[in-house]
Amino acid sequence: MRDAIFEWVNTRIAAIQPDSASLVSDSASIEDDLGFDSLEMVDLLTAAEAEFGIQIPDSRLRDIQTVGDLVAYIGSQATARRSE
Amino acid sequence: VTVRAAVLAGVGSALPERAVDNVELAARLGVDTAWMESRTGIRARRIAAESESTTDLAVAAADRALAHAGGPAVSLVIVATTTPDRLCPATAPTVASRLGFAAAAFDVAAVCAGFIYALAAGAAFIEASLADGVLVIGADRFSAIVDPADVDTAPLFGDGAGAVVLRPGGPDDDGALHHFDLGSDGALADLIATAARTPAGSARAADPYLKMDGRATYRHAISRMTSSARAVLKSAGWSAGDVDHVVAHQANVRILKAVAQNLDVPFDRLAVNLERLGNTAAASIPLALDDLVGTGAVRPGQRVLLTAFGGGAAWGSAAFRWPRMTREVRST
Repeated sequence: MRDAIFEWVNTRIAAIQPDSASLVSDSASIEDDLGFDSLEMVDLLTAAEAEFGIQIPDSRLRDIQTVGDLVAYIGSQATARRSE
Repeated sequence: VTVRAAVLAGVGSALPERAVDNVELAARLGVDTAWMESRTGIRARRIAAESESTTDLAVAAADRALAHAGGPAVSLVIVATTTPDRLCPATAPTVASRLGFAAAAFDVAAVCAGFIYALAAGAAFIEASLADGVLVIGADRFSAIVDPADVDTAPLFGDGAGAVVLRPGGPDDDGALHHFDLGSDGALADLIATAARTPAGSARAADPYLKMDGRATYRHAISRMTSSARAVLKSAGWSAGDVDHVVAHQANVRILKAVAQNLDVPFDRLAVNLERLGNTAAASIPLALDDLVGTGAVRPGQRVLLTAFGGGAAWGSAAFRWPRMTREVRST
């Protein structure tokens, strides 16, 4: 499951910032290292909501920062959703 | 049986003379112009002179809309604004008096969706035979509430006003206003907010300036404008592909692009004035309508979709066919 989420995040990052695809790692900051601006970051999170059927509250929009944060957040929400 | 409908009869707008471009603003804020433009699509905005009030802008826009409509009598004036010159009284009575009308007059507070709310109210007054000629004005002077040193908001907003005239007509006339979708979600009240001068629980506001959560506003704007536009299209019985002109609230070109993509409407059908005017709040839609008239881009019978999202959160959409105006050539 984690690999599939990481793969999806990787693909989306490459679609939004093609030049940054080779820099993706768990610890990479999506804005500082991969060059996303704040609205591209929101686009990525919104796409994740649609893809995984999760909801990211407004209060979390700023504290998901690294690729690893996003993958973990999607994983935790998708798991919670499946066990509901 | 509806025998009477509100019909669009004239459009006008007014802008402050002073343009502030990104070069001037970026130097003041200590950011670069590319950063500013890539985030918003905005290159310049008009800023009112100290002596130029929201009322002045509203009167000038209304005057031009009345000329465009052939100078009808007006029995109701509605001003949508978030930046009135005084907290009390409303702006609309002064505007009506300065235009020479002893008319019913009130303001609408629905921030960037204010023009569509006011348009719906004006149309409903005509349908209910509570008014005949109606002036609907969106006028804002956000420079009065934006912190000039705030890099997050100062680049976004500009001042201006736009107005339309409504007249009673038949329900099948082009320009008849039947289809609206209006909504709000007060749980999002903190997205875009300015404190009252004396909020409950404190002697005076700590911070008089507009505060905005840009990230959350961006995504709610895209989602609500998309769903509201879809609702009004359904009400009108149109598909998105039928629409000739989408006139959406001008907050950010990236919101406009996302809404166009969600609706599956080619981007060249969207009116865009934000690159030279910024976000003019309640004025953005009538300013864009006036551009369509001024450039001759809109023709009688064409399908027009309006949609807006803003503070509240409040949102709204309208759909109508463009009418044949009394005067096709602008007098101003």
